[in-house]
Amino acid sequence: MQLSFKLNGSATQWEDVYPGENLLEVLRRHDCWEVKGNNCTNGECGACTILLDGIPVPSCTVFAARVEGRNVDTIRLLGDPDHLHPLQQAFLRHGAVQCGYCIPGMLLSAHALLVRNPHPNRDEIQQSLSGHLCRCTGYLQQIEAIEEMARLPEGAE
Amino acid sequence: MVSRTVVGQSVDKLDGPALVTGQAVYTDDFSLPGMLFGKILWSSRAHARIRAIDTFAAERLPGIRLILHHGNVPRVAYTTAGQGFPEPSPYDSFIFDRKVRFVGDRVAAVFADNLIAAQEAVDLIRVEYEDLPAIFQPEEATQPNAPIIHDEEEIRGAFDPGHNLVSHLDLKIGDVEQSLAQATYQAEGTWITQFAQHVPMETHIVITYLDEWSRLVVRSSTQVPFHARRIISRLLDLPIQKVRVIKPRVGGGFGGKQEILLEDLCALATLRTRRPARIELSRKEEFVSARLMHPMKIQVRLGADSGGQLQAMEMRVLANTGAYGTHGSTVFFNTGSKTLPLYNKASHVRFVGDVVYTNLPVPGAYRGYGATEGYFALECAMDQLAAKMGMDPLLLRRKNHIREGETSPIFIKLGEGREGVDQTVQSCGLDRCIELGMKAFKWDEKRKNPRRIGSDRARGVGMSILMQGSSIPRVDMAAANLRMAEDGSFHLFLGATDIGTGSDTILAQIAAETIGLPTQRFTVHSSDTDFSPFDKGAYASSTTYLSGQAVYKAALAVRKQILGVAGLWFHVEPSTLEICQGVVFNRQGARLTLEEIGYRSYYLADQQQIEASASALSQASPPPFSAHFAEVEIDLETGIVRPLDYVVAVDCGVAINPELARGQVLGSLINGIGFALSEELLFSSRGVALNPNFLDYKILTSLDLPRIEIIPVETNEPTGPYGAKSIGEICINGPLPTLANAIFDATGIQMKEAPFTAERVWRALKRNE
Amino acid sequence: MQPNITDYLQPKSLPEAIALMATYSGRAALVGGGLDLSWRPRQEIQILIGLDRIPLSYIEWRPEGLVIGAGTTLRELADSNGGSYLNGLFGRILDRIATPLLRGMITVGGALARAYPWSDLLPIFLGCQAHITLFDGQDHTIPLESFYQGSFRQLLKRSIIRELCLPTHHQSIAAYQRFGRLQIDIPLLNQFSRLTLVEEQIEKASLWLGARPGFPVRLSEVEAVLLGKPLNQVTIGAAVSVLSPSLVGADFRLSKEYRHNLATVFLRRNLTEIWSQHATII
Ligand SMILES: Cc1cc2nc3c(=O)[nH]c(=O)nc-3n(C[C@H](O)[C@H](O)[C@H](O)COP(=O)(O)OP(=O)(O)OC[C@H]3O[C@@H](n4cnc5c(N)ncnc54)[C@H](O)[C@@H]3O)c2cc1C
Ligand code: FES
Ligand code: FES
Repeated sequence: MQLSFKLNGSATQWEDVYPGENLLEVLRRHDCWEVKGNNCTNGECGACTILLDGIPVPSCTVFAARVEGRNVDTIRLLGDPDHLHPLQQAFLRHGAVQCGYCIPGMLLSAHALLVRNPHPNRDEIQQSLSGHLCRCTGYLQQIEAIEEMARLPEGAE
Repeated sequence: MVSRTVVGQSVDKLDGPALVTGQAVYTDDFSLPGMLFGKILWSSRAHARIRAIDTFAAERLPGIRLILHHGNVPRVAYTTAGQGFPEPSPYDSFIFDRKVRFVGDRVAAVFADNLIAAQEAVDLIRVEYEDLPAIFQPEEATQPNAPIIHDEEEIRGAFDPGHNLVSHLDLKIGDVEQSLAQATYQAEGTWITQFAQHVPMETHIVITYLDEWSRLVVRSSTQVPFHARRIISRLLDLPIQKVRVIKPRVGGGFGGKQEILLEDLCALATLRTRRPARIELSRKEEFVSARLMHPMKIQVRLGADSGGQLQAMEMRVLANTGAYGTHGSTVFFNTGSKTLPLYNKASHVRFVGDVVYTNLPVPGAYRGYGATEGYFALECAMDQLAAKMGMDPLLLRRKNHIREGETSPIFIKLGEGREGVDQTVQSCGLDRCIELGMKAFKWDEKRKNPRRIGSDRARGVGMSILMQGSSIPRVDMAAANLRMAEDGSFHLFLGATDIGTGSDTILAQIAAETIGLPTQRFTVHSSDTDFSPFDKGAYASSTTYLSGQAVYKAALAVRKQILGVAGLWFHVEPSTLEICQGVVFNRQGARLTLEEIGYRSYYLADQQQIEASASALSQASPPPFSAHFAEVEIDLETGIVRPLDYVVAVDCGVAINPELARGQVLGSLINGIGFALSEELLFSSRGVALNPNFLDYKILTSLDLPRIEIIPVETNEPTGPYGAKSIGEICINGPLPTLANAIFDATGIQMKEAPFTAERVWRALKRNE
Repeated sequence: MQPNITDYLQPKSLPEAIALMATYSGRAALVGGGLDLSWRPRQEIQILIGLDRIPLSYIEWRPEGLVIGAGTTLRELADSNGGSYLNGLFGRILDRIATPLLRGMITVGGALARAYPWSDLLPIFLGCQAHITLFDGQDHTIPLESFYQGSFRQLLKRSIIRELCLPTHHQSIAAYQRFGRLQIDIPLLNQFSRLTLVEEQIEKASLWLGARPGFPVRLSEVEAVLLGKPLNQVTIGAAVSVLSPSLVGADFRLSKEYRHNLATVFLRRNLTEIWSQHATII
């Protein structure tokens, strides 16, 4: 099966996609190692989160065929190691990253929140992270990092 | 005191930029041509002999390359525990055995061209079992006619396998019975902890392959690369020289990866097929067939005089180590050795207990390492005692806790499955932890508040105090190698194993401080057994304290070499020179950059490699200390417990990196609150796990947090690098007793079985009506 | 990867989808959010029929009430003005279902068709006397309650859910309680109560108990006690006292006894909540 979609803004066409595959499997098979996960495969840990037309969803629960013609964004959307996005810098500053396994997913949820609502309150921030399990940090660090972003003037993200 | 520029700063994690951008840094972010995918067939029986394994149909599926089972692998007794040699855990495991001992035990492994074929083949393997009677209750394990779980001839190191005993100890100091009888006040109870899992977000995964010299390369998500290398070598009869273990970034360990669980199978597959091989555990497999926390029943008896001075303490432990004894005796010893010295005023102490086999999944090392269970019992018993005396529980602790300059007889009597090492506490900020914690928490004020809120709610406050250790004295060794490049940057080679804790960064900070330049100039390599010097790995709260000492020594030596080169250049005594921000200054203020020194020593004059290796052997295990405070609200009609406020004050010596130290506190705290409220692996009457998934094994999310305040209390540990002690484990021990004590304060009920689920609390409330 | 699946078809209209269901009868499954098949793969399924290309994602306020297309995700629903249904209670309930990530996946049609006994939505939809529109070549609109009373799984083999209509109930006040082990959890017991009060008398009552752990049941005996009475402490006490323990059961998560306690507490709290809301309206 062929799959055409936009991956991080670039038109992408993959020929060897199986109809029974989920998006996580297809992405990792094509070396998109930035999408972590594949261990709960049930939408419950959030590690494999991507943005589908801007909405954060667990890629392990999305049949790959469903993204035909749509926009898929991974953490590459934000920045690269030499040009970190301010949200990524805020995560680092607040100690929000320990093992880092949950982080790409969390960043995408946080980013999606801030795009929709540049000044979320604490409740909204906690809600937006609640689909992501993190065993290292205690969540407070990410919450504080996003709060810092929420205090920035409009458009600064 | 010299002012510090790097130590004590919250330097960003060196691996941070890679992690926040999702670089391919974990074991699985990697693929090799021709890689085989492995799947394991797990036992469906709790206790059975394998009469026959029929792989005929499985082998005939297309793409199946290898099927391993007890009939075609070496039979070597070993322990999966990644501990120093000789391991204190019993040799009671085999790659595959003729017997299975729990539902989820290994039976066979299939390696195939793809995962689907491997899984199909696993489903086609027919196993003929002869069921044996099984033990699910630890009390039954030592009954006279109990089935023997380990009846293999080769078993070594278990206390009495014929009676399912992995370990037994009866340690007596003074006369507890008599002292208890004479005590004005007594407290007594039995506290029970559950099967809990580490739940690392990255499950166990291993990829193996042969390098161009036909050496075995093992890429593993492990906390113990060097122990893994040694154990694989012994199991597969392969010289250590032929094995290389690489630890990429690890997606969380918490003790669960201090185990050799998959390396042997992948290695066998690669050696036999000469193809790369990979096994990754699914979430369900991680819950059932990786490792857990030891469920314990702990009876504590305390006796105090009329003034509240503790006279006698007794702790009786029954620990369930499941089907295998990995970490069994050491975790049990720690239950006493990390808790009882906290109250060193009691002159009569008894610590007695058994560690038993059962036909349930296998506990191993878990952050806290036995102290978690011990503190639950001890600190709840302390509150019972305080209640009987009508004394503020905080005051009772103040009267009794250990202080700087003091020791405890337990230190020398109880070590890691054997005798310990004598030590005097040289740094203790516990009184300040209690003082600052109670102020921030508003302890006195909150205790005056009414307990009842409306008709159906109650609030209460509780506290506990804790200590842990830093490394295993006279056992643990760590080494570091530091090498300067010609541009004045450094490569720091570590056997120390960063599993997400940030130890790479912390150790680079220690080196940077010692030499006198910014942390960003360091590239840290951890760990690769081909290139890293030995380090026992990430466990026992030892990395900052012990590996830090090795790095400090290596950095001092490198600094000396740098100053030596600079001294030749300036024609002065090296001791007259200073290094600041990567520049050497002489007394006249002339400057020499490290780059100039690097080029000179590489290419120009008196050529030499500026580099040093150093190792450190732990001599003591200085305890970090902590005081925890919590307020909870209980819905009296449903039993739902909600933590409202949580304050932690913690003394880890000097925090090399305060933000990372805070991260360790928060992470362990949230995990500990999970133990207290919800985490528990449940089993059917046949020993089948009922909830090995996130739907039913509940860990906290961002919506479950109380208000949290963390107060660092600095002390200076003279034996630690720049005054540092450990911080990685201690705080996981706090929430069980702290929240239980808060529930006790609110309702008058002591919750003695964890977790304090709504239904359990509701039942306790009803019983009390 | 589900190796048994050989085709993923994407029809553009309901008739086209129905034709495909007929052609591949027995080995095809519809995909709304697709969560169920990713969770519990089914060996017999070879063909997936995705509903994404069919315009089924819409939320409209019509004279008869709030109409929700079957393809609407819970996230879309919560973000729309649909959340204001039941004076905003509906929106607050949506915010507690699964996780934000899963709410971006779960479709109303999928939730209705799968009908998990522990669903958050079913007691609310049933308690609001929703109507469901099914398409099997033609549209059929029936009360949701009768849909579930019939053999709905058979019906769904040859029809597709088009939409759900939640009627507007003037003067009615609702309350909802769910029990989870932590904030994020499936409900292990839930109770939805909706009363219509006319001149201080309870004129209509619609009370449902779900995640018992069985399929939601209507609390008819409790309703009978309430009807025609004024809403006060005495009535609430009488209502709660007839809640039969036989309505709840045990699983490894909760005992029967505890579930019964929860049901009692939730019912009392919901009725009390409605009482106090009613008081503030007057
Ligand atoms: C981890 C997790 C947690 C959850 N937590 C909650 C919770 O807290 N509360 C709650 O209420 N629910 C919860 N859900 C359940 C969720 O509501 C159901 O899984 C829901 O059925 C999924 O919707 P879907 O759109 O993905 O369905 P799908 O998987 O797409 O479909 C489900 C079934 O419905 C059929 N179907 C789909 N659309 C239609 C249609 N238009 N017409 C006819 N048949 C159709 C499909 O063929 C399939 O058989 C949870 C689910 C998961 C995975
Ligand atoms: S792997 Fe996708 S949510 Fe866990
Ligand atoms: S940082 Fe390790 S799981 Fe979140």
